Amino acid sequence: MKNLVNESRLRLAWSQQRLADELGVSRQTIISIERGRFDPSLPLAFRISAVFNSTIEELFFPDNQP
Amino acid sequence: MTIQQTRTKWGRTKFGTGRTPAMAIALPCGLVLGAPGGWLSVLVGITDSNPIVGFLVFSLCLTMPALALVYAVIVDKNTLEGAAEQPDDSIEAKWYDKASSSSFTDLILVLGAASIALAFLPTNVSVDLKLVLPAVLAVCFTSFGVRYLMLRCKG
Repeated sequence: MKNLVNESRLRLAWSQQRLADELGVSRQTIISIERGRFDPSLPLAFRISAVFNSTIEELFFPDNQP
Repeated sequence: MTIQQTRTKWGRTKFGTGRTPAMAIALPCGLVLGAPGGWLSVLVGITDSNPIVGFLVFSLCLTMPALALVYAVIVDKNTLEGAAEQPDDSIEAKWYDKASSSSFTDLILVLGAASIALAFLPTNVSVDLKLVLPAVLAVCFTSFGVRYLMLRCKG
């Protein structure tokens, strides 16, 4: 699953640690999500989208989607 | 932030006022739980050659896991430095689950292969259960540790 977490975080000029603290997860979790190696759980995806003031569909999309 | 101020390296207890350091409870409890093990080793005569050293060795070996067990039960993870507030959503929880299930498979493979190998031995082999059980435990720990580290390196 692809995502725009990295772009959204950089838009706010947040560090990975800042985002991790906001979401209550480890920094390694943010690194893995941004690299596309870890698909977050649904509750975490909702929290991420809430933090960036967007929807899950805007942040996460399938690999085969252009 | 209040939460940041109360966080410490070893955390605090999850009961009572929440101000008591977890180690202040776990350390004496570990000693209290470990000492009877040392005393028992002297009573049953395992350490007849040198009861004092035997008592100390058994007590020390039992104190560490007892301390860790008590600590794990009483510590409030929200008072630990660097602990995530939502650990179940973190990738470390996924690594833990994957490493657990993989080490279970490893254990079945190792025990199965060992059983097959023993079945083909022409002579009867008797193995001391006191050695077999720690060996199985060591396989479990090693398998889990290696698999967890591999997952962590992959990221």
